[in-house]
Amino acid sequence: MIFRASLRHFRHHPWQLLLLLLGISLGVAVVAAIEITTDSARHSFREAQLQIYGRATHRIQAQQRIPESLYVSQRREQSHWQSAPVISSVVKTSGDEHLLMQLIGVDPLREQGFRNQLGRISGSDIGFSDLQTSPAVVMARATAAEVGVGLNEQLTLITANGTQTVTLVGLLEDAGDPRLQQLLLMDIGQAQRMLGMEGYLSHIDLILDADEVAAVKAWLPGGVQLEVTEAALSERAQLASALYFNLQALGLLALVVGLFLVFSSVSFSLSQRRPIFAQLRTLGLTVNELYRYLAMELLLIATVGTLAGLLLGIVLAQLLLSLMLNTLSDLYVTSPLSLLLLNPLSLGKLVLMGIGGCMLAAWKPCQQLAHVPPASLQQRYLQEQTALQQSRQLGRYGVPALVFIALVLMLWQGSGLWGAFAGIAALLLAGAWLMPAALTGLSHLLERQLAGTQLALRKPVLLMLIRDNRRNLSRTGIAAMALMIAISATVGIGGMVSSFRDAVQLWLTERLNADLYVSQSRVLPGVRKALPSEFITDVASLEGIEAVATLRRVQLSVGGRPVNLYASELPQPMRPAYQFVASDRNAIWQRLAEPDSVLISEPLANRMGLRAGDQLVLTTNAGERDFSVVGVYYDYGSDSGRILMPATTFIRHWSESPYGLALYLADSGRLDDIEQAIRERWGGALDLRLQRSSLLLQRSVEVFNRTFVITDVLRLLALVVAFVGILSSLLAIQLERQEEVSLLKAVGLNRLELVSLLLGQSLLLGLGAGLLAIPVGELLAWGLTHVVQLRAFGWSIPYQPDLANWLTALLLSVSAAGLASLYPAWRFAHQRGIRRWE
Amino acid sequence: MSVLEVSGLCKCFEVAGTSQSILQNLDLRMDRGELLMLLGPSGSGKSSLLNLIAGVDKPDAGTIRMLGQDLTALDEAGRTRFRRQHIGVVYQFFNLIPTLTVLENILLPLSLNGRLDEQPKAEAQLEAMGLTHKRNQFPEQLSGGEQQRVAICRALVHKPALLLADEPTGSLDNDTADLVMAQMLDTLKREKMTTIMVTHSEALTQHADRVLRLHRGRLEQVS
Repeated sequence: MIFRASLRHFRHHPWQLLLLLLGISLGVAVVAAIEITTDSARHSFREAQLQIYGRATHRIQAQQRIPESLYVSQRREQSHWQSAPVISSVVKTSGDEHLLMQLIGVDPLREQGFRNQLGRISGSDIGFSDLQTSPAVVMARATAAEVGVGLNEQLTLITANGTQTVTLVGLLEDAGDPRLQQLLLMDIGQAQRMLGMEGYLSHIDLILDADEVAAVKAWLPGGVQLEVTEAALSERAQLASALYFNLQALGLLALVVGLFLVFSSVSFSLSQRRPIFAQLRTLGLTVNELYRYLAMELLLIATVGTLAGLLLGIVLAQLLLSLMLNTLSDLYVTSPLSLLLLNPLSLGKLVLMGIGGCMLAAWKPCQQLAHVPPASLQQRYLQEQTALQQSRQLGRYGVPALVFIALVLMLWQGSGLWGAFAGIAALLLAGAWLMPAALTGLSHLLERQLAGTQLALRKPVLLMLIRDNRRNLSRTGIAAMALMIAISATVGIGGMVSSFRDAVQLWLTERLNADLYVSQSRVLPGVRKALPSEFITDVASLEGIEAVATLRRVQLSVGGRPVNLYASELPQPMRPAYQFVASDRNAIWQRLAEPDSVLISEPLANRMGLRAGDQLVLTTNAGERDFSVVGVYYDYGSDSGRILMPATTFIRHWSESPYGLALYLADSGRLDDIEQAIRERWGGALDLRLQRSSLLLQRSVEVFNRTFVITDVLRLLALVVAFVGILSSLLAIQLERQEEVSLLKAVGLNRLELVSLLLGQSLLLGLGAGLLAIPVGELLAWGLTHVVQLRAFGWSIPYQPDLANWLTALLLSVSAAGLASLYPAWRFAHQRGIRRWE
Repeated sequence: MSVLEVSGLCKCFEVAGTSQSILQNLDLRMDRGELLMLLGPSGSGKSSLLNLIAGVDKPDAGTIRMLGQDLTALDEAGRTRFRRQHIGVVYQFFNLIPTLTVLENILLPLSLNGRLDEQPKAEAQLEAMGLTHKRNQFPEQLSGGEQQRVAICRALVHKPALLLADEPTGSLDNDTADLVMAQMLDTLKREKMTTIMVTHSEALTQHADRVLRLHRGRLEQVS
């Protein structure tokens, strides 16, 4: 019977049910989209790496490459260790559209137990001889079709060793599996010859048990390391950690806004049916029976809303994944594969989260409804009084408690990254709880200014709309909270991004302080060719060059993560490029001249807990050596960290040649002349890339901005969720005020005045939410820049409040509220006649 | 001189897919200062008639002329303007705007008509009703009787040509109802207000100049 009464209520007010479902669906959709996207991207990264690592548990590797003789020795001396030699390199297909591919050279005889791709080859009878006699490759059927090459046809590849021609001798049956579509398989001997790596390997894969690991480590000579492939996998996955971090934070935000929306929608849906429930309670329905019914109804609605949200989330995830791929293509050499992963476990978790979240958010309104005495269930005035009392209590006790929790979590280092997130969530919640009190305060303030003035008497609608904000607090409060959270996120994340952008721009401007950067053009991403020494000497002797710095780089593993070690002569003009966290600049530069001294970046210092004066162990060509940290410099280039040392120190421990030059001119006006001179003298012999710092800076900023496109999309989605919340609340108010509309019409208010009443109320709500969102957003930005960024990436960002950001927030808040009120206001003004007389 | 002339008024409503005639060729003429009491069972069309006279709804046929103006010829905005200037309304309950104080509620018609210079009249009316001490209170702080007295003040403050009162004391207890009605009738006589009052109380009709009953869509003389 209750079900029938409720069903009829929804049949008369279908938009209520629709908005309730929409609220749940949108909230779930955003969270689901983020979860599915990050899951898919992580999975794709992992799967892409598994194509290379297979089932290997460990690998032997060095800074650059390892001698093949090491593998021969291992097979001869320790043949019981299960091992396979591997050549791995990125190559590009030739043609109009270059396709980046991962080439893996393997020994077919040793592959068994490591990778399974050889078992998926079809298309012709391939024997080992086919792979070994001429440069032959195997690739995925879909890729072959894309490149336009058939079996036994030739394919041109651009490699680090120049352009090479290979024959396609087999196809991998990919069955649409994109994980195989970036893979090229080759015989290891052919790969060595083609890449100019005769006598060398990229790494040796091993399948080891726990006892063998120590034995392998003991057996290995200096200069090579044994790495756990799991670590390599997670290391690779960490490449995109900044992006995941962004998504997780926004997912959390969408969840909070979504839950507020559910709370608001359910509260309203229940309050609309108060008279029904009041009569049922008067007729003898017990509290428990009412609870059971409410739980059942809510479960049904939550399930439908969650499932719809999940479907929408999957569609949204497709969009986010493509945005993410664009970003990753900008940031990293190879992008992950576009495989949308619909993991049943993950989907199940999302369904449970959606339904559970709805039930949790709806618990309070249900509890309130069930425990109010039947006689007072119908009193609207009592609801408002209760809402007002609750908002006062929340403001008085809840907000200070939450702020205290937030401060403890954010200031106490031990709470970690998730502690910082929890602190930020507590901060947002505190802001949200303050919202009703802020709206009441704003309403009182405006009323005090207006009451008794001629303006108020001439335009009574003004006073009415100001007071309406207080009177309808139980309806609008939650929507205002959701809007405030969405807007404060805009201020906070916007502030963080703009501060980050400013910091990066300043850092890049300082770092790229040379007039011209010279290197050889890269045929493949990530592959840097060394510059001939005679070229360096010749360029340094050019007239007008004030200073030349050679640039060398080697990748090391520090604390289980890849860290780039840079070296240069660090001439005087280059030194302003480095700003130090603390200490005296001159003293640092002096100490750096001492043997085995290094500078480290702030992220590395924070990650490893290092400071000036500490020792850092690095793997050199001759094995592990201690280096003295003499200074810590600001750096936003890598969250894994970077190391800088003088070229003289570098040369003693590593053999890498310079890959680039930084040229400082005595007169910057002669840049064109110098560029021309270099091209004339060396343009024929070398494929040179001459880059002016201004151009490099511009490109870097473009990449930076693209990285945050996905963030903007998600912020917009959070705003849409809040928008639906306001729309729903205002429609609720419009429905509830039918009697009042009748009265207002009878008194003689025209449609424009009626529209102004609801529109004005909504605009005021938007203004209130926008005003509170500014301080809350600024606190959020502070938390994100000073706490979260530091804990997540190890770098500190000087935070600068942005007034333009505040103005945008206010405009956004007022516009969203105004737009959401248009339809309810129209309905408000077009309600039919005086209902009492109908 | 007649204030209101209604002739040949027809109104039908769709009920469960079928058209039901509520008012059929209804005629009514009211002179200035006349107090007309309207009787009739629930659903007889009393509210529909008030609705049409107030200009919040349009008839299917017939004309409503008030102060020489044909209300049926006006558009929605025109009817609203006319209503705010020339008609006052008192309902059975929910008469006051909850977000305006007593004085602001009473000043509302003056404000809408741009006649705020007549504020002293509002204050005088408030005093006549014995509500001066409540002028800055909100409706929720008043008793039912006080609310109805404020509603009467507001309906009359701009000196409308016609007052429409729909069971103005119907929601009050007997003692309060008698008190409020006495004050209202006194004011109506003093102001010579043309009034249509819907009531279910036969006893009240003794105060009327004319009593009509709405029966099968037409008005019948009762006394």
